[in-house]
Amino acid sequence: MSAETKAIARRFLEEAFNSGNLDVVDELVAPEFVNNDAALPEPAVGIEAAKASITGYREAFPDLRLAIEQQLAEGEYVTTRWNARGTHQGALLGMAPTGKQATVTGITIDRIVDGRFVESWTNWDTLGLMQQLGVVPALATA
Amino acid sequence: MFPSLPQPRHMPCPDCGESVAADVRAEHLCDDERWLTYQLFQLRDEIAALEQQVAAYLASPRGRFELWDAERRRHR
Repeated sequence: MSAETKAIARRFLEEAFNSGNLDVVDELVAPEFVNNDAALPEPAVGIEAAKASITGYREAFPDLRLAIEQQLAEGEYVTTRWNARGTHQGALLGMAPTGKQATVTGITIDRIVDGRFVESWTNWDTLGLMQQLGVVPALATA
Repeated sequence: MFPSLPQPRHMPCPDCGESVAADVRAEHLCDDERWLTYQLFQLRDEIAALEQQVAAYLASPRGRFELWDAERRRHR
């Protein structure tokens, strides 16, 4: 089970986020899926919301590359520690494109039932992204 | 509110926009192609405005005359 959930989470990240293959969302996401992304004002529910989230990030960062650093799995849950890098070429969270490349880290916990994602919780370095894009000033360390 | 807010581990190079980790920042050298792409991206509004101004000029009576004259001289 652990190996299976890890493989599903890996496949989803690589195919949906890195390759932009949204067919994998239809295949691996349950209709009742709830996406708790810390960057979103409220949980996004359903397959189309999952696609919209992925599309939004990929439009903002067309060369987006997520790399998995570590995965831990237990039962229906798999935790993935990842980093993401991309060039900000489209609007994101109200920010006009800057052309700057950014690197952020994050951790996602997925709950996978019968081979499909039913809920995800993601915390990623939104403040670091804002600082890298110059939206929030990055103060020099003392 | 956050007097000691630190920089993230990665920051974009101010010249080429590449995401550079803090521990290799001193050794970073800009890739020429990335530098050019980044600089052009920063100027995209000015470039778009210039293209609009040129198109508007070429559509004006004087611009149309200059196009006609340039074409005439090219065939001379």
